[in-house]
Amino acid sequence: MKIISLQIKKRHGYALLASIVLCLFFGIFIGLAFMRSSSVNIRGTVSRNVEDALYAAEAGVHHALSALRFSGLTWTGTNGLEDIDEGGKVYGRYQVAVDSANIQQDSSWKIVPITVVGWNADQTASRQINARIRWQSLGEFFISTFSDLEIAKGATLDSGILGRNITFANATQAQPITIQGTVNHFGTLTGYDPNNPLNYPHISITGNPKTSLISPPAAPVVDSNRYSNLANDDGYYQASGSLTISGNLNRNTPLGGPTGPSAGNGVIFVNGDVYISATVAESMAVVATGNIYITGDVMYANQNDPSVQLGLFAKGNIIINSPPAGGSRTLQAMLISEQRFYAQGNPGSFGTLNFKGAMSIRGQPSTSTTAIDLAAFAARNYVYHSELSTACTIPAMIYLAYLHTWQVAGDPSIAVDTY
Amino acid sequence: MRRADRAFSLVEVIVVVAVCAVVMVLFGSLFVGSWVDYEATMARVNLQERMDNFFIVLEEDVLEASDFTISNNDQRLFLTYPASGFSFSSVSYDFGNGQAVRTTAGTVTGTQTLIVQGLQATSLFLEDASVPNVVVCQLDLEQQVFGRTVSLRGLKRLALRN
Repeated sequence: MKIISLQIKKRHGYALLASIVLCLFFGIFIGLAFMRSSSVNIRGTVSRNVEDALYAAEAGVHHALSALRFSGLTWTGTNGLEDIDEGGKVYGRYQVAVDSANIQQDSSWKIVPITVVGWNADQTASRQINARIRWQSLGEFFISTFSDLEIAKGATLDSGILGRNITFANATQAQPITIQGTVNHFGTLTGYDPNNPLNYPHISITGNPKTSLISPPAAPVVDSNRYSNLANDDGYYQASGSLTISGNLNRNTPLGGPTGPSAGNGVIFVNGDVYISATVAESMAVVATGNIYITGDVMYANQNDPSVQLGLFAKGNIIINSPPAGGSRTLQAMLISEQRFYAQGNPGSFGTLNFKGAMSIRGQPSTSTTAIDLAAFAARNYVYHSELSTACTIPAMIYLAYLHTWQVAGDPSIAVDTY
Repeated sequence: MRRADRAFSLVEVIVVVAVCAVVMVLFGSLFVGSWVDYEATMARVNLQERMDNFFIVLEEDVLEASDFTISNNDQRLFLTYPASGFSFSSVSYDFGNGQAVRTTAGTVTGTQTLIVQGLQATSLFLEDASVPNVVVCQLDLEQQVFGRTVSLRGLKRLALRN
């Protein structure tokens, strides 16, 4: 009996041992599988975080571009941490620092260095983009367009110009071309060679450099949301229909006339067309999502005060309505249009157009239609309003800002595993 | 006798182990199916990881570049950079022998094999015909798992920023 009992005990011991070994085998087997999966998952998460951080930094670059287009060089310093979120979920964060102390000058352009650090959502990975942004006020150019420009013989422009393909007419001694500034182009230059200016004795360009081939800038946009918000906050806002502005224009009487609603910040926004004929006493911005029609003279009340400036910004066209036959018209303003600027009527059918200011007209790059066509006036006198660049007082002015250089700090190959 | 009674009988142990085994098999099947399926899944994840890491490096190199050329039957991408302020004067990517090799020149010079194996001959670089200054990279990766072919294709369109 004692012998049998011992045998059973031993058999039980082996069985227990075998079951433990079996369990251990299964346990290790499954444990290894989990560890492999977990390891791969962690590596994948790290890669994704690194990429998310770069995209967050890139979003910061776009924020900086937008801010410099809207606020100009007043947007400085290290800005707060911004979340990239949607529906309450944060996808990443970024922080932008503007190195105002090291802004460089390149011809008339400013090169603004910025540093953007981006993080993934839980800030476990970061990437840094060092960018330099090419910045300029649209008021710097008497004419800027994002389509082609033809400089007619006899033309005298007292500032720089900006265009895509720029063609100079065959100037003569009797009808020379004079440009007091730099010819900026991001396409071809025809009819003039800056390296051999003596071959073009009747074309005088006084800028330094005379011409500048720049990378294609982003065309300025008349941002409806921005202006409608400003007008809603402390300006004059009209949700629909056309608006007529006539008489004395200031911030107390933004529609002209002796009384009217106030436009404290000087922004008038109309979700439609604007018809304007006014004497301007204070700096204002008139913004239309449609066309702006110049129905009469638009001129400053005090011709000796360059600090009063009017901005006419249209998502549509800026159109000079037909004046009386043979009549003249005066227009003093900074014009920005996403389409065209033209005068209605047959060529030469009216008297003189007296224009003072600057114009940035996007044109229609895909067509051959001229962006600016004022041939309806037999004579055209142009005066550049230089303070639009040097001392702009137009509320919520629009600036040019686009990437000059873009660089990620460090070598990307260090940031990720390779195989 | 009392000591022996406290232990499990052989039948009990066999039943317990059998139940454990069934549970483990069911548990494992729930997550990874068969072992081969599990390995294939792991291979696919690995390929995706290789591809992601390759594209992270390529993306930054292309975005920083100012110009590029494609040669060697679309198997070579040569990137050049602005004259000053950049770590590299050029970076080249070469596909061949199942590998993707990145070679840098300039302040930082070196060669790095980003993908060591599994790169297919159908991988290539192209210039976007419709949009200027856009590089298109097609990456085909492949891995054999217990006689089963696991393959993955990635396509990236990247525009120069400088």
